Amino acid sequence: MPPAAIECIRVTKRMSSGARVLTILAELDLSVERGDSVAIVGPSGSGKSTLLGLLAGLDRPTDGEVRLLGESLGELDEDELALLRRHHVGFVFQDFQLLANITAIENVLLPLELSGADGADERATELLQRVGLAERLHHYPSQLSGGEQQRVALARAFATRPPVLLADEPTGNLDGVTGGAALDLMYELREQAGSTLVLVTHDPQVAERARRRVRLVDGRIVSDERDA
Amino acid sequence: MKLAIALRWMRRESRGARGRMLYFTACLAVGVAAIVGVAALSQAIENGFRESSREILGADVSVDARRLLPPQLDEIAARHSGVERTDVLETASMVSALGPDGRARRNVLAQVHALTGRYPLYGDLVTEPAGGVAHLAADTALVPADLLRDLELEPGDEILIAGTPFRVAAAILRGPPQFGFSSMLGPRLFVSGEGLKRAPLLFVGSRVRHRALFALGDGATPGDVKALAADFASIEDAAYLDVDTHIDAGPGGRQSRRRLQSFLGRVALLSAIVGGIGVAQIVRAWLAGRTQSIAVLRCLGVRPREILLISLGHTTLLAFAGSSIGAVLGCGLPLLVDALVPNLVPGGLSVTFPAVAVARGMVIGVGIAVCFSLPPLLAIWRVSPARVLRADAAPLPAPRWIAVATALAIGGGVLGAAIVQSDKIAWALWFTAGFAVLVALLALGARALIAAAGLVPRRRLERHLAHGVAALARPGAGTIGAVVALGLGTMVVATMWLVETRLREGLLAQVPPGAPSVFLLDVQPEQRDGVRAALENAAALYVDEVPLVMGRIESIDGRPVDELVAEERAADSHTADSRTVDPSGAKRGPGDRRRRSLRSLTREQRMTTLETLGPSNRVVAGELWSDPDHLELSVEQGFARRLGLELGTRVGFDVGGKPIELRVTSLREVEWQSFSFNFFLVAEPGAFDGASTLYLASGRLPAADEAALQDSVVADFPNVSVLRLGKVIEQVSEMIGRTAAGVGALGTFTVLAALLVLAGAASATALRRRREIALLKTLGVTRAGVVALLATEFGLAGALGGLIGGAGALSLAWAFLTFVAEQSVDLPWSLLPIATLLCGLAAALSGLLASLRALRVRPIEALR
Ligand SMILES: Nc1ncnc2c1ncn2[C@@H]1O[C@H](COP(=O)(O)OP(=O)(O)OP(=O)(O)O)[C@@H](O)[C@H]1O
Ligand SMILES: [Mg+2]
Repeated sequence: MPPAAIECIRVTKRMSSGARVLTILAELDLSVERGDSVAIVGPSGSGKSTLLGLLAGLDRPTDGEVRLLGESLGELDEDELALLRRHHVGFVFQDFQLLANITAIENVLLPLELSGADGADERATELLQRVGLAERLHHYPSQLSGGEQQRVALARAFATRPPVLLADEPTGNLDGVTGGAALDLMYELREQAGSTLVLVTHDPQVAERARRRVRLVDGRIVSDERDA
Repeated sequence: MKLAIALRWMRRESRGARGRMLYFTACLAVGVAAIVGVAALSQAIENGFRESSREILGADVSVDARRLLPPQLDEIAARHSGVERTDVLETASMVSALGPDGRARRNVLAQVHALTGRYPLYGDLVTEPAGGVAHLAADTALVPADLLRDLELEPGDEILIAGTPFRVAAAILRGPPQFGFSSMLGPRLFVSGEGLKRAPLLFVGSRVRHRALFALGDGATPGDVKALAADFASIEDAAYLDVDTHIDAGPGGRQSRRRLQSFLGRVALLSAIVGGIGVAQIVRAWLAGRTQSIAVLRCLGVRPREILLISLGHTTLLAFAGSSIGAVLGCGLPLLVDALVPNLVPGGLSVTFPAVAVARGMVIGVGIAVCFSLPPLLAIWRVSPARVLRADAAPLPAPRWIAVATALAIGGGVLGAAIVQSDKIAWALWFTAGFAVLVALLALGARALIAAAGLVPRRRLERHLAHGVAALARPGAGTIGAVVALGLGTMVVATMWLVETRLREGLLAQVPPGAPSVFLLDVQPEQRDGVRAALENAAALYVDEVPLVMGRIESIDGRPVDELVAEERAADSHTADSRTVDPSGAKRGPGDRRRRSLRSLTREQRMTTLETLGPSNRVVAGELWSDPDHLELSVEQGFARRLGLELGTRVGFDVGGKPIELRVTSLREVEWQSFSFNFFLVAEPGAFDGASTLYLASGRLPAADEAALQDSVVADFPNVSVLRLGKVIEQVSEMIGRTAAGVGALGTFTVLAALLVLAGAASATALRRRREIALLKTLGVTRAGVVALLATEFGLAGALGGLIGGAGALSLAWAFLTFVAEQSVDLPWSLLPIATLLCGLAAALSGLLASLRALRVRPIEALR
């Protein structure tokens, strides 16, 4: 059996804020199977984003081990982590994080160019068509609305068909209707790419769409439920 | 990563960064323009000299001495084919127009050159009426048109040379160029060899230079020329000859020209490095604006080193562009100078493409850009990819090698640029160290002032000032760099100005109250009383007179000088040739000093006898006239060192054919700047009794009375030359002024670069500024109000730079004047407020210009 997509083994994250040391995540164990979709929910400040950052190797745990697609992140240096993300991880953020000085299509091209894929231009154009932005290929992020920007971000995230997709409050900055549409799009793209999805949200409706829901409070998992 | 992709990313990076790129390129262009410009101009000047070197020397080979030339010259010339010889006797004399009363009128000290043979051998002597030297007979002279105008004479009139009447056969419109020291000796007249004999100028001890000019004809190769020169130089017992070829000769001033050129080159280097500070600033500000993008890129899996390479590639391309623009501008400098100052050098400028200078400028420009942008770029490693999740994610700890790399990049950049520019590693090391100390001091000053600004209670301040002070004190505003750059620029210009004005003032003030201001040369023994009377009639103060004896050293401690010379030649034969081998004259080895000592060994020396020494002399070893048994000699210590003379050394002289041996009993230190007459060799009174002696009389009188004295002396004693110190000082001071003007102009480049740094910093923070301005506008501040706010902010930073630079200039000028020029200084403190104000204004202006775009933006665009 292939290794799980994501494994957290007794992961602890502490941060010092001034003189105090905060424990943000406490000996957290979590395993996500390939192809699964997991929503991480919990009140603000419970450590959801921190956990997501650890899963992507954007940050390192104080203690414990994170494995991504079988690789133990603690053993990789910054460069190796970067390569791992380049080829295997896609991201969607609450505030989109598009590069402001390049156009929509160039933002989508970015991961394609990085991974050295052939036919990058066609793939980027096709993706932007799929998210309904065929007319806006050469617009800069500042010329797009929030919903449009998030759609560009989705196209960018799925451009290389990453095995793992991490999303932090993808609908947090969007109104209900726009958010719902973005979510539909995300699940549709995920279906086609076959990615494992880990999604952070505090919106119960968004969480409902995932097959599994993990509830975090004060850095601990308090419930873990799965659709039948 | 593939190159094509990297290039594409670089292109994308340029978008929306027009301001940044503009200032980046401009910062480099200014520095490179200065470097290439100085080198191109130097090259054009040297080319001009080289192309006209035959015309300047007037020959292929010139041989000269202060005494009759040896007969072997002709034998040697005969062994080489097609050699033509012309002889020139060069002397100086008073020349005058003949007044209606039959007495001399309007006297001028002039050079008189007596020609035997065709002249000039190369170049032209253009006269009106035409004909040149064909006009010369025993009683005619060729006189420069300018001099004729001053004397109110015309061709055909009579002119007095040393009291002897000559007819002006023609006016000289243009002749072989003279420059440097010789051009300061006065206008140059030509007479014939027989003509000179008529005038009382060829007496024993007169200041005549005998010169033979040789031409080999147009077919001669440099090798032929050097061979002839080498033959002349090897004449037995004739080390007193000065042999020059048009190839190496280089006109006398070459050494000082070189020194000036390399000094200018170093000032130019400074502006390039100031430009480098600008580059660092701009890159840093750019990176600050890109932190989030870098976090996203890292999150998407781009490695820091890939981001670095792309940024560095981008920087290098821009640096290349900026340096190229600078190089083109620099290449144009000689053309500009030629247009503005057509007669800068006698031969005219000869502009060629300065390939080496361009290469040098490009290497320095690109090198400095890369080295100075590396440290800020290394911050890429510290950008945490976690910023994509939390905007305030803590920066990553810096890898230790980054600190090392930063120091290496900056230090290496400055050192490398200095080495490339000067070719001298030792100097480059000093420069780098000095620069580091200077920048550290300026930065410390800037930091202290900024910290002080932060402490000012802002609530009490006027609104605009409060904003400006707050902006200064804001962390990470890049103010320190801009202030340091501006401080450096101001310092260069202000120091130059201070040193120049003080040096000139010092020079003019240096005719000390008790010193003579007029010197009467070549007074014959029987004219002594008359000349003294003339001085006293003119109510001159401090009238004085010293005897003058010409002699040359024949032996040292009994060993003939010729033997010593031969020994020295043998010991150092390769350096003896070096001046014919190395036409560039660039490398001056140890043989140079020896050659000089060899010359002074054998040259005709002007000596005096004195009972007591003047105030500018101090005995440092032995005792004056302390040995009753021998005739004694007192030697200037540097001269003694060069010749290896010590207390007790016996020096044999040939004075007018008579051998005299003197014993060194004292060594002296001489203050040469004192403007009184000083001698290397002073003998005990009576030592030269019987030898033909001339006298040098001097006195001090008001400048207004000098002309009258000169007229009366010339009328009664035509052979006596009158030297007015005031005029000489004026000329020297003018020369210093011209040099300083050049350096000052170059210093302006540094200020310009500094202003660009400031404007660049302003434009680089345009994004932040746009938000700020938009916010202010939204809050209801009018556009004029915003302009006033910004002007105060930039103005304050500029004023700070001016203040620091001014203070630096005062200290540097003080140190230079006190320790190097050894001159007491009275520094103008008013420089501080002036520099502060000017820099403040300039900075406010350049900052506003750089913010124009941000000012125009509508609030909604910036705030969304
Ligand atoms: N660099 C840091 N320094 C100090 N405290 C931090 C740091 N990063 C996170 N924290 C703290 O850790 C806790 C968890 O933060 P995190 O961003 O993971 O919460 P979250 O669950 O994503 O909240 P939200 O739903 O509001 O996004 C918070 O209390 C936060 O203040
Ligand atoms: Mg969060």
